[in-house]
This record gives sequence, C-alpha cells and structure tokens, in this order.
Amino acid sequence: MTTKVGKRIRIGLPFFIIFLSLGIIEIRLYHLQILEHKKFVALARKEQVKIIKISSERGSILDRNGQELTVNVPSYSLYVRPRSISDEGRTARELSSHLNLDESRLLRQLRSDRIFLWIKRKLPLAKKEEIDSLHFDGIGWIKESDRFYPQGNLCSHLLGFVGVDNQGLAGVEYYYDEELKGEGGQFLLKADALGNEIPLTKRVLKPLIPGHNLMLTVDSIIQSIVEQELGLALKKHQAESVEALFMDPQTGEILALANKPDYNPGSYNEYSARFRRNGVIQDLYEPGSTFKVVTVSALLDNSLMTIEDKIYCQGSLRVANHVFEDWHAFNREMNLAEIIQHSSDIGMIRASQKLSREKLFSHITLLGFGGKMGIDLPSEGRGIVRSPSRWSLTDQPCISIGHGIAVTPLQMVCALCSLINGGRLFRPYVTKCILSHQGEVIKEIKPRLIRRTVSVETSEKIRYFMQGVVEGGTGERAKLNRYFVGGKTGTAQIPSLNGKGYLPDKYIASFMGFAPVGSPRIAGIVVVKRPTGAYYASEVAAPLFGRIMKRVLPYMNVPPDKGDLLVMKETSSS
Amino acid sequence: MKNKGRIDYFLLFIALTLVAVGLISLLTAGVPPGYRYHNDPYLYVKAQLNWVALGLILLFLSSYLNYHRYTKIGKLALVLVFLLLIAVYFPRIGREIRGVRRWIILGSVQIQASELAKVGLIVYLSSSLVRKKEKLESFFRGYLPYFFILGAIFLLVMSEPDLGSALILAILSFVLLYAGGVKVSHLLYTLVLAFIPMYFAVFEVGYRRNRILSFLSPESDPRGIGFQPLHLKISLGCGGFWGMGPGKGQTKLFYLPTPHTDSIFAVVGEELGFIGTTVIVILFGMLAWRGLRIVKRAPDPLGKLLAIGFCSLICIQGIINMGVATVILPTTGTPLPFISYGGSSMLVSLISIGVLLNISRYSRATP
Repeated sequence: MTTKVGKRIRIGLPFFIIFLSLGIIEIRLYHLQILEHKKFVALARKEQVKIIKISSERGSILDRNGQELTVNVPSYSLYVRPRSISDEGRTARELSSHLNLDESRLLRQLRSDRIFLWIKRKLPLAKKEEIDSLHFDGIGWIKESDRFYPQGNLCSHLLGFVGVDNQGLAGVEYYYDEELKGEGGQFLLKADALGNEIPLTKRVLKPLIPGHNLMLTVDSIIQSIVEQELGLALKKHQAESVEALFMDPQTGEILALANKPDYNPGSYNEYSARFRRNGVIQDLYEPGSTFKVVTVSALLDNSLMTIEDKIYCQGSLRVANHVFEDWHAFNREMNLAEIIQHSSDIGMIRASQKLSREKLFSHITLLGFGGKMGIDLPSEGRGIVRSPSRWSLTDQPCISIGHGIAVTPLQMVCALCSLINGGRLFRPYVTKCILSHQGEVIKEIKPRLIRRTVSVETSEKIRYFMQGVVEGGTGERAKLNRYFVGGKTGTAQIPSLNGKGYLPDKYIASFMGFAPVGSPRIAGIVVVKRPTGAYYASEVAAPLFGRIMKRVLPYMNVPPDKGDLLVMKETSSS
Repeated sequence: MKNKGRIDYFLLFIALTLVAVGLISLLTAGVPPGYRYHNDPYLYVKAQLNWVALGLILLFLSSYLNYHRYTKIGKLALVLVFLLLIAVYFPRIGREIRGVRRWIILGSVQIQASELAKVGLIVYLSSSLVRKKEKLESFFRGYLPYFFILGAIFLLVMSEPDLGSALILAILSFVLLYAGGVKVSHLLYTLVLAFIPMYFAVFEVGYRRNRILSFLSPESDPRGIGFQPLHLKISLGCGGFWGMGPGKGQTKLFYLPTPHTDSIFAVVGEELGFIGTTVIVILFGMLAWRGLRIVKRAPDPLGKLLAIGFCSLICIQGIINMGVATVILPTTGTPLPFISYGGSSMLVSLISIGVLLNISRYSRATP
C-alpha cells in the first residue's frame, strides 16, 4: 500500500468484469439472434400460428310449405383441463350436483392425467351462466350448435335424428347428411399466449360452406292430422303399433308418413329401438285382402275376365289338402266388382285360377313388390316374393288373397297409386328440393316414372271397384258425405316366427284407399297391428282412414264430388 | 479542487439516449399489458414520461450538489437505509402486493425501498471507507462492522422477499469494499460464509428452485417452469439481425409475462433485432467507459468510490437484466436501467448519472 490515499482505490477488476460481462452478453445475442434465428422462428410459428376449425351450420329441414321442422340452437359444451384444477373435491362436488353427474366418477376424471376432457356436452346458456357464477378454475366452454326439433314428435320417423357431433343417424337427417352438413371451414391465425386472435393475421385455408336446406314433400298439417288420428286409434284399439302413409298418386310425393308409437328426435336416446323404427318402409307384413286388388288388376289387364263375368262363391273350397273358407258363406254368383266389394276369398281364389303362376308373379313384380321402391330414406324393406317355380299347390290361391307374400306398407301404396292413376308406377320420395343456405333452389327433385303397369281402362275399373267397397261393401265405414272414396280392407293373420302356420288371435287390420275417385288427389294406407278387441279391418282400419280423409280433403281444397258422372256412367253401362 | 470544470456531456448524452430508447421501447412493449390491465395502451409511456421529468430534475440538482457534502451525511444515510427497509413492514407506510413487501408510500406514489437503499448504501460505504483508511487492514476494527451492517441490510431485503435487489446490494457492497481497500482474503471468507444462507434461500423456496431448474433446462417443461426462459429465447431469436420491425413483435403478447418491465430487452430484441440489442449493449459499455474515465480523473478517494459505486450500480443492474433476458442467468426480477418501466428505478438511475456528472466537474487531467 502506498501512502497516497488516491492510489489505494482499486478500480481495475470491477470495470474489467463489467466489460467482460457485456462482451459475453453480446456474444450470446449473436448466437441467439443470428445463428439460431431460424430455429426460433420455427418454434414461434408452431406456437403462435393456430389452425382453427369451424364446423358449419347444419341445413334446415322444411315441410312443403316452408315450415321449419328443425332449428339449430347454440349450446355450450363443458370441458376441463384436469391438471389445472386447484380444488378437485369442490369442483367435483358442485359440478355433479348441478349437472346430475356421478360425483365419484367425476372426481376420478378430474384427478386423471388427461389434458382435455369433456364433462358434459350441449348445455343451454342458462346452465352455462349458472356454472360460470360458481367460478371454477380449469374448466372451459366450447360453443356448439344443437339440433332442436320445434315440432316435438311430429315427423319423427321422417326426419330421423343427429348424434352429438351433428352427424345424421336416421331418416332424412341420415339420407341427406352430405347435403345438410355442409363443409367446415379452416382458418389460420396467429394468437397470443391467452389464445386471443391477433388482428389482421387471419387467413382462410378452407372456406366455410354452410349446409343446404331441404324442403320435404310432406305437408306438416296433413302429417299432424294423420299423427293425431293414429294416436287416438293406437289408444282405442290398444294396438301394438299403427302406421300410415299418404302419397300424391299423380307424382309419388309423400304427403304424410307416420308410425305410432313415435319418439322425439331431440332426445332420441331416451327411446328404445321399437319407437324409432320406421315400420312404414321397413316392416314386412302379409297384406291379406288388400292384395286382392292386385290379383284383380292382373285378371283385367290380361283380359282374362270382364267385369260381367261371374263366379260362384260356395261356402268352402278345397285346394290340395287345404280347405279355404270365406268370412261369411255367400253361396251365390258374384262378378269381380262384388268379389272385391265383399272381399270373398273363395271368389278371388277361383278367379285367380284363370291366371298362370308366371303371369301372376310377373304382374306382382311389375307393380314393384319384391324390390325396393327407391324412396329417399334409409333401410327400405324389399318384401318377400318367392319365384313361381318354388310355389306349392296352395301358394297361388294364398298369394291371390294376400298371404304367403310379404310387403311393406310403402309398396302397397306405390302399387295402389299406379293402379288408380292410369298405370304409372312412380318412385316415392320425401324431398321436393334442395335449397342453398340463402334459400335459392339448387336442385329440384322431379317425379320419376319407374314404369307403366296397367292400362288406363284397367285403372278406371279398379277405381270403380274400390269405390264399391266403400259405398256398400266392407269399407263402408270409410264413407264420406261429400267425397267419393275408394278403398279396400284387409284383415290378415300374422305368420308365426317359427315358419309354421299363423299366430292365433293376432291380426293386422289395414285399409288402403284414395280420394276423390274421379281424379285421385291422395292415396294411402293405414295399418293397425295387433289390435285388441275388434280386429276386422272394416271395424278398425276403415273408420280410421275415413276420419283422416274427412279432415285432409277439405284442407287440400279438393272440391266435393259426390254425384260424379264417371261413376254414374260406369254403373249404367253395366 | 474548487475550480469547477465542465461536466461530462458525453455521459449525459449516453444517459439521455438510453432514456429515449426506453421510451420508444415502451411505446410498443407497454401496449399489451397497458391495454389488457388498464384499458390504455399508452398508460405506461405516459406514466414513464412523468418519472423521466422528475428524474431529470433530480439529475440536475444532484449534478450541482457537491459530492463532498455526502461525507457529512454518511451515517445518516445508513440510518435512512434501515428506516426505509423496516418501513415496508408498517401497514400505514408500507404496502404489500401479492404477499411481497417492497414498497413504501410517499404521498400518492409508491417507491421501492430497496432502490433508495442502493443509493444510501453507496453514500454510506464510500464516505465510511474513506474515513477508515488504514483501519481497514484490521479484521475486527475494519472489516467486521461492515460485515454485520451489510449482512443486516441483505437479510432485510431478502425477507421482503426480493432476492434480486438483495443480490445487487451484495455485489455493490463487494465492489465498494474491494475498491475501498478491504483485504481480499476477508471478502473471500465472507463469500464462502454467504453460500450457506444463499443455498437455503434459493433451494428451499419453491419458485426460486424452479427458476434455477428451468434456467438449466427450459425445454424439459416448456409449458410450465420453462415457459419464461424459452420465450425469452424465442423472442430474441425471432428478431434476427434486423428485427421484425417496431410494433411487430409477438412474444410481448403475454408469452412474456412482463414485456414492459423485466423482459423489455427481449421485446426490443424481437422488434429491432441484433442491431437494436447491440446498440443497447454498446450504450451500457460506453456508459461504463465514461464512468471509468470519471473514476480515474476524480480528485480524491471519495469521488472515486462514489463514481465506482454509482457507475457499477447502473451497469450491474443492466448486466443482470440482459443476462436474464438472454438466459445466461436464472430469472430474477431486475429492471433494465433507463429502459424498463418503473419509477424508482428511473429516479435512482438518473440520480446516479447526476452524481457522476457532479464528480466529473472536479476532474483533474489524467495523471
């Protein structure tokens, strides 16, 4: 140490360290900012750039008058990030009581090692606000769109339903899923650490295409009349099920399609499969006497019988080792009109003996039986029509009266329409047109003729025969005061599942018909399966059909036609 | 010694340039937190302007206050330091924010007690070391009193808790004791002794241990404890040579927790690139160089010690802040002098420049 105090101050080392540190920092900066620049740009991009997927709005389904049958409502789905919850016990306890969940299961989920977990999807806004007010941490919401069916159970089997991800699972929702769902968009954007979008960084990778709307051929007023009457009939007859289908016979447009019991598409998972089954197009049954109209049309169209030709209807008839009996012994001569009018099995079987097996078979398939009609709904039934080479001796007589053959109600109505509209078999369809999101027509679905079936003359005669059924035959209880209605009853037995014989005391009562007889505007069928008590179609199905027609025809603005000249002329000429 | 010379205008220019760079940086780095927490994107710039104005007045005054007068208030400064550091624990004067007691309230403003303590410590140590002279050679009469006084200050700041400021106070004390002539062996003993409490202070406190661990390997938990060091690197790395352009940086958008204060260097690095960060490093280097020049030309030991103290106060803080930003050092909450938002730091930095300028007035020609 020198004596001069000024020299005692040591300054070298501190400043050396300062300059050295600044140098190290500068070298480090060079390393990070220049040498590793690209690496960090890539890291930042990975973190800041987000690809956002936005699901598109599902298209609406409208009835033929533009009434909305589906609505999309915003809903909120609750998720958790299990690792960022501070108090799992409280969260599990309170959430489970508010959402009706099992507390111990929820607690297990909250304590799991997952990053993201749905707690409950599609909750209404009110529920979201309720839960938000409890201030949990580690939970979040994702806004989704929930399918809501404002008309409740109406058209349930037609519309079908969608799953939790808005994917169509049944009915029109399933069949037209591609058109309805649209295409989700993809956006690229930069986000800050809190997940907020940074303005002006958004780029569209894939545009959002909203789903198309569908306009159905179904009229929701007719539909609701039909559903109301079916509901009453189901209760009254304590039947297993009641089904109905109504169609415009001139086009193949379906005006109403209903099954009872039914379900609410908005909460489809609360119903068993039985309720969700669309029996009208899926379920097979032996039609019974309604099928006589098909046999008669084969006789007329092949000119094997005229309307004057008469057949003696005795009490019973033995074919091979089977004895057929009428529901009521007629023991008199009847022409085809009377056979249909009074539904004589013996008369029908004897008349059908004029037909060869092949002729009868080809006529049945000509009318569409044994194949799909091509309706735009999923899982249509084909029916069972065995080839004539495999018929036993009793098969032809059975088939001529509608047994030993299985059909769907849809097939019956399609065949009926072609028999009464001058011989045109139309493809049945439920969707009139596909509309864009803005409501412009993208694709119009036109009636499609499958093939011609019977001649115009045969068709006219069938209409006249079927009018006879209602105006003084087995279908009398479907008669209306102001309209001529044509129809045919059918009381069929149900084959037992083991393939041998029929179930005792179990019946399917059906009535198919149309109105007005002069120029049919609507044709359809009602099927009552396994009614208890009265089971004859004349007592169960015919009145149901009549009640529906009585309400539907005025709604459709069909002018009353009682006293129509067509029928008078026919009667006078005979 | 009475003949007043010109002050070191170059040093003043460097300091003012740093202040300007700071205000410009706050103009962009302060936007996200200002907007999010106060609904005013320019709140921090506006507030900082007030501090700068006040700071410049204090700079002006201190540059005229003859530094020899500090000898008279050496002991008083020490008393004031203790009073300040104890005051934070009194509810009326001190203020607790999120469990941390670092602030005292003066009228309507909050002052960080440890910042003022740094000034007091420099004044006390400089005048005291000059007075003790040869006594410093003795361990018991020279060194031991400092050991107890400085140890007490260090523990007080540690328990606020403010490890960053405590460390700066410790380093500052070491620099002044070393420069003032305390035996190097005494300092080394102290260093070894200090390791024991330091180990507990760091490794027994959860968040500090995490900071060390995350510093050692940020990639091991990039979403958790490694988040901040990783994003400091990303921020600087994205800047490249020229930077992304003023205002275009993105890590300040909440990827960096405090873009306007402790992490401002990284924001500047992202927006102005290697050029921008190098300018700041060079400005601090030049500041140290002018500081060294003033130290060398100071006419007496008191001037030299004061100059070393105030110059290293600024430089140590700058180095620690930039070291943290470049992930050379583990995270400690230390502001970047002149640039980070914060009133206490700005005032202390400008006062330090004022004192340095005052010392430069009495410069002798280089020996």
